[in-house]
Amino acid sequence: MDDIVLRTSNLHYTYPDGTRALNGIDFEAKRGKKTAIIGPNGSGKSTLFLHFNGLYRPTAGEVYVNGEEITDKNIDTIRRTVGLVFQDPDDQLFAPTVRDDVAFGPANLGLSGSEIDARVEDVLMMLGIHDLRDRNVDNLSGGQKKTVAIAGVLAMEPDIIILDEPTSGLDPESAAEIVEITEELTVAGKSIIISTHDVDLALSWADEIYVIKSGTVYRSGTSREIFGDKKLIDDTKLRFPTVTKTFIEFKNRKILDCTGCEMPRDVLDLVDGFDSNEHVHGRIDVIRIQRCAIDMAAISDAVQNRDIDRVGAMGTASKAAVLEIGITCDYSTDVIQSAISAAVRGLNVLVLVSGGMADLVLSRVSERNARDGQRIECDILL
Amino acid sequence: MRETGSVSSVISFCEGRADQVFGDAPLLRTAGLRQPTTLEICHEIERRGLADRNNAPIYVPELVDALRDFLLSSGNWVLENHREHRGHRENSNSLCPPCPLWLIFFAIIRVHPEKIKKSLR
Repeated sequence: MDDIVLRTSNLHYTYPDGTRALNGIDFEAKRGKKTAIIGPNGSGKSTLFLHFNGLYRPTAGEVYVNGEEITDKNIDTIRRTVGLVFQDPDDQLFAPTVRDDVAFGPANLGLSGSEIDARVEDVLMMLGIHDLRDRNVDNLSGGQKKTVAIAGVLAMEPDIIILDEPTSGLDPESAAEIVEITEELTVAGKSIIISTHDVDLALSWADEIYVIKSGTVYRSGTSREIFGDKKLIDDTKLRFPTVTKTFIEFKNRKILDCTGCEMPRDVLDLVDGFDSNEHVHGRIDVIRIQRCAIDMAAISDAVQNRDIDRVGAMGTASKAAVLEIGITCDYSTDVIQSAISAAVRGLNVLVLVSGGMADLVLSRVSERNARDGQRIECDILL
Repeated sequence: MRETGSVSSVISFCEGRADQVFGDAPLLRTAGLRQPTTLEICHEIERRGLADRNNAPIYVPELVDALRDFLLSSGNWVLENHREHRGHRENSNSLCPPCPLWLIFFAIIRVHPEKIKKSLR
């Protein structure tokens, strides 16, 4: 199977009023990877996204999805494969209730009533908005509308998910949850493309970054390549992520010997660079919580006689389980980072997760172990 | 900083200077907010026992200054740029590791940091 799921070739687009929005974009998104598009306002990010599922047709150039050029003939298949969440949720939501809106996509796929219900409930639980299911979408806050718009696309289970500014307008906790869900979807094999102005998010989240300026690809590369280039940041009116800025400040003042150091992608990376102490590492135990049925007895058995210092919960079902068990949840956002940080300091952490997030925890811990030579044990108990 | 009221058992409000409010991680968590990254870095360093946090730096230069003081005083890191180190020495209690006085300062700072601060006021 081809590794490239979405590709544009010399893509041009001019609006009817003559504004040239895209001027020869060559873009590629890889299967199961997270791609971020960053750039100043008016650089053409949203216009580019509207081409990805055929809402806009190029003035010149081509768009390929799974190697197939988008045409009138395959447009229905393309829209089932590529789910697009608009920047402004008001452009997307139209049904009277949240439930109806989320069900609209699956209903158009021709699914049965019970299947639609199952998908809607699953997505509402996943995003923690099941209590909004009967609410009128017009009466929701901006952040809630955004989450419902994302739910509507996730319910269609597309292979490629495009999110235009997914965290803008969301409170930090909701934004962190959306980010965690994109990570979970990637582990499940989905390809995610986002646009964002949040450089901190782009640095820590993206496998590949495209910097767009004046309708062209100014540069593409890994987050370390992009944010390691000061000229690029200046030229594109972006700013350095705080972690990068701190690293550069240390480097410029020659406080740390950064020769040969990889640029850190997050707080843990940065501090690992300072930390020459030999820590006795703790352990991370993971328990999977099923969204529909929480088996309290099994959870109690699994954690019995285990020495647990901190508890984290990822996803709505896990947070509900923590409340039901009656234990204090220490980490509810940035759970994986917090758990690794605690384990580095010798604490044992129990992480309750929903769905595919267990694999995400395992993969992130083993990535860190491999990179930093750490030996944090991580097991899935249930 | 003081709490000014609460609307439920979950949400509470407080007021204070930015460094006080954002320095209180549990309060921010309760309010569904998160700390600025500079403070996250600072807390991570503090949690690992790499530095004692006496303030809550909001900006990157403040953060680096705060950490530099510790790095120098602990003797764990040596500045490559000696000129900058000398400039730094004039404004704080840290001395260049190769200087003989540094050893005395290092011992006092490690044993009685509060006395050093008092004597410098």
